[in-house]
Amino acid sequence: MELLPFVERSVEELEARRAELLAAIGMTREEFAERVRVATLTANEWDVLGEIESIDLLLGDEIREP
Amino acid sequence: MSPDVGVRSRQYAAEVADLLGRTVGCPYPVASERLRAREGYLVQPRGIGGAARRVPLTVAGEHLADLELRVVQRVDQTGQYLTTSRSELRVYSTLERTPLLRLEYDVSARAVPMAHWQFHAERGAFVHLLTLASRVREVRGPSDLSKLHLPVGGGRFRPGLEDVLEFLIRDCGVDAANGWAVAIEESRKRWWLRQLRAAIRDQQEDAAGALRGLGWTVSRDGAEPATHDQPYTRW
Repeated sequence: MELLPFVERSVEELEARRAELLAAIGMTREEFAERVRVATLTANEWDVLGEIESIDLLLGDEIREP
Repeated sequence: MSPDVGVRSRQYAAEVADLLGRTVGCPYPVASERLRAREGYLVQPRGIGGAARRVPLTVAGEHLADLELRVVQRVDQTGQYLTTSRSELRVYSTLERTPLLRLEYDVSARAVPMAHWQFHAERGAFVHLLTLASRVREVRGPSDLSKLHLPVGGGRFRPGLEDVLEFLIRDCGVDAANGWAVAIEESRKRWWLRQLRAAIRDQQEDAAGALRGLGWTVSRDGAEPATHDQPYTRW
């Protein structure tokens, strides 16, 4: 099995990508975190949730659904 | 963190890629990335630039669902081994672009089981029960069954990616490559033996006692190790 090198992205790249994803659904991080916490998400929100969660994990800013 | 730990994370990513490739297929590389805020790694299928990608699932060649896969690995309490601290396996419908089911694990979870299934389904009788219960005590989303967390196996005995893939192939009719069952068996054995070794490290006296009971002579150098009970006491 081939071992791939680590993916290398800067913190600035990750933050910019997260801002782009949040802009696509028209929310701030806090607004989206609250939606994840209490609401039934829409398809558009599910579309971005996974990638935002990944970036949050990388940066140590996790949002968890209760 | 030992450089060997990083190699093991990349090795794990390669194993996941191999398993996906030999079962449902995966057009994306699976790669590891270092966490920035703490020691650990994130393993997932990735597109251009390293962004997360879902694995397309087909039925008779038609793209009907997607699998989202994410695994966070941290160094365990011994400081020598990688352990999964969080994982998400989510199956999405391409029709509605929302989840059908989710198998999630988070070692830090408190309000919900560490390992749990969430089903995005409807059942009137269940909603009826929860709605009545919500009048007298707090329950989760009485009208939304996906808010329920079905506990499954805890930290050590939870299902693995192999089980989700076999479920998708056998029960949901998802297309699979020739030889998929062998790939799953090989990977599942690797998964369970890893979990077994972790359980032995957690509970060494019990493990040694079990071996002595089977006729082995087991002894230990050094101080008696502390037990690691959390995976066996919490839901």
